[in-house]
Amino acid sequence: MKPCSKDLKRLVIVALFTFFLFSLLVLQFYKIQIIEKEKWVKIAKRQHQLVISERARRGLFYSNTSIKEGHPQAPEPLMVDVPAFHLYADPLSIPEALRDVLSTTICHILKLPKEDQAHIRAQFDKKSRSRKLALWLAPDEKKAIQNFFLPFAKEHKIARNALFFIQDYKRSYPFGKLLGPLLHTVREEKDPVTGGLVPTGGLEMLFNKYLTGKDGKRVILRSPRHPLDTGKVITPPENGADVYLTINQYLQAIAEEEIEKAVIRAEAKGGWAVMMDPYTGEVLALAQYPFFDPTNYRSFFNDPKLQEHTKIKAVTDPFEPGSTMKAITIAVTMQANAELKKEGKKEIFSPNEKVETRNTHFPGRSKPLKDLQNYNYMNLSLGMQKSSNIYMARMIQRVIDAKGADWYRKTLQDIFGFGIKTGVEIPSESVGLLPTPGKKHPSGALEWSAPTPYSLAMGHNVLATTFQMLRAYAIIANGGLDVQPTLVRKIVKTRADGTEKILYEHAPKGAKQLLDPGISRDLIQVMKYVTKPGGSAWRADIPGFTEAGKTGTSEKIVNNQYSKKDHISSFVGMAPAKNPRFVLMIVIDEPVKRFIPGVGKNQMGGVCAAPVFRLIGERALAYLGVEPDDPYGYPKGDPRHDAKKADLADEIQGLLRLNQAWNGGG
Amino acid sequence: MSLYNSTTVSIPRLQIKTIVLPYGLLIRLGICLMALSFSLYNSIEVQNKMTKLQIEIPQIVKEIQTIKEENQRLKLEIIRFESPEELINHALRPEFKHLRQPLAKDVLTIQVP
Repeated sequence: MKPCSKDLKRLVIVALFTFFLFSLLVLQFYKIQIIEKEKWVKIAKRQHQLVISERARRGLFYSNTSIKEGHPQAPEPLMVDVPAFHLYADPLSIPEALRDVLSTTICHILKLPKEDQAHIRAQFDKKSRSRKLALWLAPDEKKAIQNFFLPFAKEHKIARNALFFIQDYKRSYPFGKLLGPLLHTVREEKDPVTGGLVPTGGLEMLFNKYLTGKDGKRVILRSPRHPLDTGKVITPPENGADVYLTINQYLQAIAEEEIEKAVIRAEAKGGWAVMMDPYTGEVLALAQYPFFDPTNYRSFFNDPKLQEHTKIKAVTDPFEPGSTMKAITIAVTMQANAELKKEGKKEIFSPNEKVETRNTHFPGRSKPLKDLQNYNYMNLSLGMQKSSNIYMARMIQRVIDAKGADWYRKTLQDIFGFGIKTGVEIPSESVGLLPTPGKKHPSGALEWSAPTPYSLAMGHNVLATTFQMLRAYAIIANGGLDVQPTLVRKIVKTRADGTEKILYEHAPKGAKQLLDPGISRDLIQVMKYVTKPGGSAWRADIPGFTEAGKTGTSEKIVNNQYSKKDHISSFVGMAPAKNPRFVLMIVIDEPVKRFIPGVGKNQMGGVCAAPVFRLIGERALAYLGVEPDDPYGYPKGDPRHDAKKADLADEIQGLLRLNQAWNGGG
Repeated sequence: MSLYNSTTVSIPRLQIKTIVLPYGLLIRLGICLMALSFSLYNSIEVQNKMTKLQIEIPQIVKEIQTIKEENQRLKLEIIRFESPEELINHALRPEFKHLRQPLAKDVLTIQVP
């Protein structure tokens, strides 16, 4: 039978219509799959996948474990990031009837004080899906809460994730307060905008950009029934770089222990000690008392009286160095001598010259200068040993006459770095104050007047930080070479594959010769008398070793006036005197002013600061394995003691005789 | 009356011929089917093993995490125990008082090539 033409027509129409519908379908597929691909992929991913951030580790600080010869040791971290947890609640999924029990039990497990319990309870009534209950919980605390909550949730048929934890890392300090004010810490609360960690100060703040890593991203399936995929890391986290410090943890511990004892002994307000390698400028120890404990940072920042312990006073608090400046005065005089000799002019002094110190008047000064005792004559060794103000002023008078005030100031700045920052990597470094001719103080008085050089000669009218003094003494100790104090050996970033990239490495370049090596040698020789019998710092004598240094005592400036009650006492020196392993400065802030029978004035640098140099130096040299270079220079009673064979034994006797002859004193 | 209009349809007569397959081909087909079945079984077995492993992954990840945390805690304890302050205190104890720091010249350093 043949189909009729009407049926055929209908068939064709149906076929065409079907074809048209299929075409529309194909076009729709094309639109969805090809044209709008990105959009639909995005929507699908949003529905099925969840992107969470993969936490990057913050960089750590490491101590210097390579200063001891023959004792290779792995780098020692000064802090460790331990896992900690933040506890959150989803109040909307917790029935009202259960909130009291939950809140009370959590507070009981976490042993929270009563005032916190009300706060926790209030969080359960908030119309929110995520309320913070407790921060920085230890893994044990997390486990205890889970042990209670999971059976509780099952019993009362509430969601298992009605209470949930967010993992984080908390800075922990295995060495406790060690190096606290230098390292500082990070706040418990994160930056509300960036979500990053907020440093409280110190090196954490200074190196924040290196320490901060970059969080990665991990995709996880939004599927509670198929927990097969633990997630795929789509962007690996970039951990922060680690900072390797120059400070050795053992020398630091020794310095902290001794400075604490010294401050307590002197009944002082505080104190600090800084030890530096004079050749490389590497700071080996930086101790300060009272301590700043970074784990308890809130109590320090919430109390204005304690706040000052959070800063490094060795860079932030300049003070009048007093007699420690006298070594610089002699160095300047020797430098002037050397230049005059080069110019073919007459030299201004000789170390053995008998200088009259009876005349205590100097041009421009209304009051005569004073020494602790009256001396008639002095040479360089006696002047340094007895810390004579008059001898030093007399030397500077000759310098000014021969080279001028500008040359003197320029030498103090260009060679010894007074009035300029040392550049050590500590925030808020003070520039100090070196008077400038023609410049005025805020009070309107001229910074530099006729008597200024004599004041500068004995460390007055100048403000210097501990680091400036230490650098100046390091230049003397290392034979006159320029040196840059530093706290950082290297900054290293470890990549995901374990390879390391060095971002910074401290490499002392060919240092500039600032001072003639001969001047340095002569100056060290003269400073050695200071720590020997008859010197102002005999208490700084390290048994078995040679050392050189100078004490300093100055009145503090309180309300723009010199205080007769408050002093800054210091000692700066080096050991061993030949090829020193370190320069060390001790500063005692406001030791109580009193006379100790049989000892002397408590507030003097030779009484309260010099012994700390000996105590730290003795232990530090033993730790470093330095061979004693004065094998007979031990105290009386020690079997190794031999007064005749000890270092400088003859010279000391000669100096005593000379003092007797010139000044009638001992 | 019939419900349907009767039409005469001529059905062609079917001529059924018996096809005899050779034994060799049957054997080959059998082997192929067996190989296919074996591969399929193997593949499913592998899939099962993988699924089993995938199920175990989150648990293992959790265990690793716990071990890592414990490791970190122990590391902290060790560092704390070996802290300079602790060691200095140990050195002051009478049983260690005889110990001395060696001099650098007394320490022999051997360079390993």
